[in-house]
Amino acid sequence: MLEKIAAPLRRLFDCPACHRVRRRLAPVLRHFDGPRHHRFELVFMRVLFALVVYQAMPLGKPFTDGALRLADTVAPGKLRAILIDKKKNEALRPPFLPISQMLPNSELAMDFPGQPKPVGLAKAMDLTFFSKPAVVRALPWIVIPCLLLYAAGVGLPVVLPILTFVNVGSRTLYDSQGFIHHGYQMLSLVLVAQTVVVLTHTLRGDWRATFGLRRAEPIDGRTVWDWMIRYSQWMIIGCYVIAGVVKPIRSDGEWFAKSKYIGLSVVKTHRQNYYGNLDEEWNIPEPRVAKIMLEEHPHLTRIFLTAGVMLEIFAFLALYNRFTALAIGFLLVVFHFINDHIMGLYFYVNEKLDWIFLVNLPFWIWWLFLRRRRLGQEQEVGEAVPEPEIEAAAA
Amino acid sequence: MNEAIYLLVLIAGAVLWFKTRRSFFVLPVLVALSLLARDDYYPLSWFPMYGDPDEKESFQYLATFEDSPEQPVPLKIRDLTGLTAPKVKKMWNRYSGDLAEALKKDKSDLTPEERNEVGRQMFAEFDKMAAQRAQTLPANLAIIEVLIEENPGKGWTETPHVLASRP
Repeated sequence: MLEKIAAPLRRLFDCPACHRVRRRLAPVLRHFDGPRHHRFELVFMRVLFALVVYQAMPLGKPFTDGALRLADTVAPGKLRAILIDKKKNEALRPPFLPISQMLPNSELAMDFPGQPKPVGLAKAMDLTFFSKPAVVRALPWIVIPCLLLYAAGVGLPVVLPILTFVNVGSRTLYDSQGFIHHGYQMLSLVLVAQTVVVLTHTLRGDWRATFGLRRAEPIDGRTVWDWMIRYSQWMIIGCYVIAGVVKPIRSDGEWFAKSKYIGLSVVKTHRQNYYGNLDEEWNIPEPRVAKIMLEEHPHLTRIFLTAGVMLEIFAFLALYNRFTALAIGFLLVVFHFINDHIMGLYFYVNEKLDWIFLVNLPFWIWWLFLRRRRLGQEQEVGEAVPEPEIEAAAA
Repeated sequence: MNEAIYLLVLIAGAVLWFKTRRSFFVLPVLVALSLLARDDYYPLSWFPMYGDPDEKESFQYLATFEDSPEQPVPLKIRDLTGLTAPKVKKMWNRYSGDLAEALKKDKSDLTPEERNEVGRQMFAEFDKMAAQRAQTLPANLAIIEVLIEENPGKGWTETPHVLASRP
């Protein structure tokens, strides 16, 4: 049966036209496999990603406000004062995240006694054990050592499956309550991708490198770390592309024409933000942005929102080279900021992953430093060598 | 029809991925798989938010009342249960969708009694979540839906109505 399907596919693949297309596309596709990374980049990425995973883990108290307690012992009340004041909390925004989002605080513990509307893994197994007090108590003892080992790059074939299971399992339980939360899918997909890459390399015989026992050798031109980063980036980009292509699909191609009605969604999100906790900050009878979208500038709104969707659909171009990753990564950060600012719709985890895996600031700081140093050296050399005309004049 | 296209993209992407070993082809695989899985297989998702803007929108909130659910007093659902207003709407869609599927009818065709049945299931879940947080919900509860409709030249209108209530 398989042979019946495979034979025509093989013939199609081996035809001369296909060969020509493959030859032309090969260098472009090779570009999309990503660069080789420096050791310092890998360390930064691992440490920062471990922090984001920690923040997403349902560890409960005292880990949910651990950073605040620590800050209170060093400088009582200082950090608390910053977090309470919205202006101070968002002093670095844009482009950076609110200060509260940068602190090493974990998520609340799971407290769901059932999984009434199971999705994914919950269809196959009962995940309510994540809500059991004994498991909640044990989780930090499992998760924190795993994260430390991950950050150090040691024992990944053991550590990553554990972290992935805890993250995917607990978030699946959360989403099995009858409502789907879209804030953690990207992070979970990155964890799944890293786990698959590490396990594949381990099974292919490079287990000493994946366990961090020796330096990783390149396979297909890249080391296991390069592939881990590249597939993490694909998961991030994939989420944007899905969110982009689903819009014309769901609206039967009418999204662009109807996009001014996002103004009604702005009203909706304002009301939803208010009714969550009767928060007066969101009790605005006529949100200004909604008025602009619906009444004052519907055509400009269409152009502006279409640009956002195009950014999502073509986000994959980010992975062509390091510069496109920086440019598109930064645009995605701005995109999230605008969504947050206009609609109160924030995706902080996604934003953090954009910073870590796309913008990749440590590399660009190093690159600028190197460039400056090289320019400085050239100038010094220029000054040291006397120009012939001046020399002749002096003689 | 759409599903067939996604499946084709998925197979083509997977074949090219294995054949060429180029990481690029994981993208069509992930996109097609997510569009097929919709929101039923975490961590895959098709991120449907704001995918179909229309001249009508709606939101829901949880309220209590004295004599009639027509005079609702909104509750701080986040403090009480940990839920948010968008999640109330998502739950309503999921629970009413399941009941409508079981009754082989459209969600919008549910009778007031059937809507109250959906409400009863949700109130029971809310009670459990509140209990986990050492909170108690009032005996009188209502899920209020507010329809937001475009009003050309004047912006929009907001019309509330009761979806379900107890007792």
